[in-house]
Amino acid sequence: MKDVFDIIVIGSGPAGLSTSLAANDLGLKVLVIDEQSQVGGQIYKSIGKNLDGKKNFLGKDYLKGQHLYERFISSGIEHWLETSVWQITENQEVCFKRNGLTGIIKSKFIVICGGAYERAMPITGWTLPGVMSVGAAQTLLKSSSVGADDCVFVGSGPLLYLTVYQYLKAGFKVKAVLDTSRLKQIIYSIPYFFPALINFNLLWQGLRWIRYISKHTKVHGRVKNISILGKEKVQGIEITLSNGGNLKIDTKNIFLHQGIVPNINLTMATGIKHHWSQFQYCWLPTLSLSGETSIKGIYVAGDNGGIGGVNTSITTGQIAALDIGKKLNKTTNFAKLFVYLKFLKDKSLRPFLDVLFKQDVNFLVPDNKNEIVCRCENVNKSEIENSIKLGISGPNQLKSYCRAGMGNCQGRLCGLTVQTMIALKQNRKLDEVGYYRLRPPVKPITLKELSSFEEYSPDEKQ
Amino acid sequence: MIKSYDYIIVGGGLIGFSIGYGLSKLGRKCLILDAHDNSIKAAQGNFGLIWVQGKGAGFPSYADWTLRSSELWGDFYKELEDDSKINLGIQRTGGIHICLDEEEYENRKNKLDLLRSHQNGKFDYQMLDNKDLSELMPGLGSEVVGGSFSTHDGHVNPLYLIKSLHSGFLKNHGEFIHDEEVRHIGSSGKGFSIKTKKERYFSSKVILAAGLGNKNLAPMVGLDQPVKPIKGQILITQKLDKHLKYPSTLLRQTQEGSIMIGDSHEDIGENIATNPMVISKIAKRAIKTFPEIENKQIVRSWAALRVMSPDGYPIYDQSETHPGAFAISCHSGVTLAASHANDLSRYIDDGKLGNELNSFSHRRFNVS
Amino acid sequence: MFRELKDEQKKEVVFFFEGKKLTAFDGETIASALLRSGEIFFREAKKNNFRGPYCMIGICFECLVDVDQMQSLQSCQVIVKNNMKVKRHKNSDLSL
Repeated sequence: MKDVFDIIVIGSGPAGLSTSLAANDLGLKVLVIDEQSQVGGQIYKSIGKNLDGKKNFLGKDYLKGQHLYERFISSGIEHWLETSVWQITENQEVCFKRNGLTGIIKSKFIVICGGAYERAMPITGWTLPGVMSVGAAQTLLKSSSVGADDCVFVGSGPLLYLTVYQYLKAGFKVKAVLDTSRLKQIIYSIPYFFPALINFNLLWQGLRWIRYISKHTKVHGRVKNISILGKEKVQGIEITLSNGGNLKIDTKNIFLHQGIVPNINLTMATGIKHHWSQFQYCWLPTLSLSGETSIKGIYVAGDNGGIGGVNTSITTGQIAALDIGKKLNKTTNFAKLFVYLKFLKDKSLRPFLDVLFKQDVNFLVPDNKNEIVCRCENVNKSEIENSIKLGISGPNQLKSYCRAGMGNCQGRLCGLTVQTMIALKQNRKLDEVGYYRLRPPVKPITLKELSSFEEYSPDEKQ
Repeated sequence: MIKSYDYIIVGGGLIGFSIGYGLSKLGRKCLILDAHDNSIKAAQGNFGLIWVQGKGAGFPSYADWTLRSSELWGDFYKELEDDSKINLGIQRTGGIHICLDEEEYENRKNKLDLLRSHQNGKFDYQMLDNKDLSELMPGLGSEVVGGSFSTHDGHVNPLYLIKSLHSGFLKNHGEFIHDEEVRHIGSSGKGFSIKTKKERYFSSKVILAAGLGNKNLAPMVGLDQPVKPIKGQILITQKLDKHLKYPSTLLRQTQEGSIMIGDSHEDIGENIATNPMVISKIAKRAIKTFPEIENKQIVRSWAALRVMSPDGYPIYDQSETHPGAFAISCHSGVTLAASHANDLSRYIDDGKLGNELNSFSHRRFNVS
Repeated sequence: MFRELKDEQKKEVVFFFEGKKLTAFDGETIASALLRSGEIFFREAKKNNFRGPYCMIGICFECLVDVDQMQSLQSCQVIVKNNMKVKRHKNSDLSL
């Protein structure tokens, strides 16, 4: 199969847009693929629709995406939307699904910009309709201007505060914010504070959000023993306050957040080497300084390579494109150096945030033994513990014994919980326990779609 | 006092656990050593068929051994289910071999006629054309020529099978240690000394049940297990209401409702990558066989490596140079699990493989 | 209960959910339109146990619906088209 494109970029969030623009500027032929109906990924979701000034409550950072978006649209870079990538083969061919058909396409290089998603927070009652992640609240706000009044936000992390801020600015009533951050994390984060100061503007912005939120809704800090109430759907939430008292809040909508993790389903299924980051409490693709993976020719940029936020996503996208450009003799190493310095500046905020909002392992494992861990296959905590008791070797043998991880989501929601439960029960290190063996298709395809599989050439556009 | 086991079984797959279960039930002190969690394991990729029809057409003792195992399954699964309280999702009311074209149908008919004549009519089957086969399999594609149906066949959840064997094994005081790949097997007059990744273990007897790993281990005990990998890929659909009454070689419906789709063979070494061309062909064939499946979602796919001997039949061996050492391999670990947990375990414990297994020795490959 | 912000004047599209006629905005996902209409039960995970969307970004697979001839689609990824017939997706787990 001939290489029709120089680079295929998978994902059109800040990293994908930045990679493709930088590559295009070097005269490289780029194809961008995204499963959504518009470019922008999650951070810049629906940015194309929100430039009319009605969505200013989304904040300056979101609106900054306008520049990137307009450059992309006017660049003429080829992009396939509503197209999902379900495999990258051993020969680095991209298998996609588009318009009810599947096909395969090859390029000289691939840059995976699949972003990140939120860690699951399997507290009591988390599967009740009415419970969603904080990212879901933000997505609805961006894409359809939809929100819920009298809702409750629970958890810890920058995305939580940003979303509550956006909600309040948009005019939705937030009943309460239940913050699970621990006091000790503030103390641990102090050593990282000074390097983070280079990003003073972002820190100041965070403080402004927090101040605004405290003025416009009730914030309870350091809450514990969280239980979502309701039988068929959410009716309320009960917590223990930091002073030991009990609090029950009636609500129909609850939004949860415990940080985000790189979306490693495609990268792992492709056979890329990953390593465990105890600091960020997640699996990361092992990358060179330029973002190249263990498979030569495949790069990862943006949050998909490690949580860094929008600025880091943009710079890592540029670095990958420049590195590829150098390999194709379109540029020199010098250009990369300049961007790399910016990357270091942006990255210096991250350790501070990572420690301040460090993943509380307690929230990854339910308190209640009857609580569902694997939502797809309805496997609860006690069923998983019973399998662990047999002395299973790890997540893969566990999966074969109790079905956790076998469902549609392929472990995206239960993987870290299962890994943590095995490590705790068997007294093993998290990186030694390992993770589910992920395999294509990373998103479902029908038999009819798969049977249509053919070598796709842009000359024969469907 | 150094701890010594009656048996060390190298390999925690279907063969290792079936034999371990059988021996531990007989009161023997057993240790199963297994590889790490992410290693290639044939047992985790199994299709789950308990299959008799068509087996041993050129090898009568295999046809007999298979039929015998299928009969043992009747009590075997009840014992496992009672013991472990795990529902194995078993069904033993018959199975279908699909024939997609006339040539396949003719060849199949001839093969099964031959088998029946070898076994004095013990083997029961019927050749069915599309119309008759459609009654057993409503929704059968009109392009399917027909197939063979045999009441000896069935299916089971292969993963829960291992789980129940594992559970029973532990209940009978067996020990299971993972992440302990075996590096070397030494022997003295008193028994075996097994050096693993991290430790050293001792036993009176040793059983090699490490699948493809047996190839390198067998010479250490004076045996030969010339096995090689034959790759197979499998697709699995979303969960569906009950559609398939009987399992077939191409499709079977699991106890959860998803339909498992096979069947492919690739001789390309130790490669378990998903090949999109191959699974596309599997999908095409599945649609031809059962058209209403075409709009169902494939939610997962995997590849596994069959442990294949040169003629495709099991290898059962005991060592003459290293008494007490046995080596077992086959690619029908589910079908033969009942015999492995019963007859074979008893033979091993008696110290001598039964006469019916003579033709399965590796020496059959040395005939020049 | 979800609602949309005022001042949102968008072209509307008609679709059906479990036989009931609903409207969506042009370019809106099925999930968003259903949530706005007050629907919270999207798929039947086991008998009488219903789930709704959790992540809204195609990760959790809780928002599964059947649309016309297709089954088990992530409603947070599918844009509503005129006269679409949407139904709850049933997880036909025979063992539950």
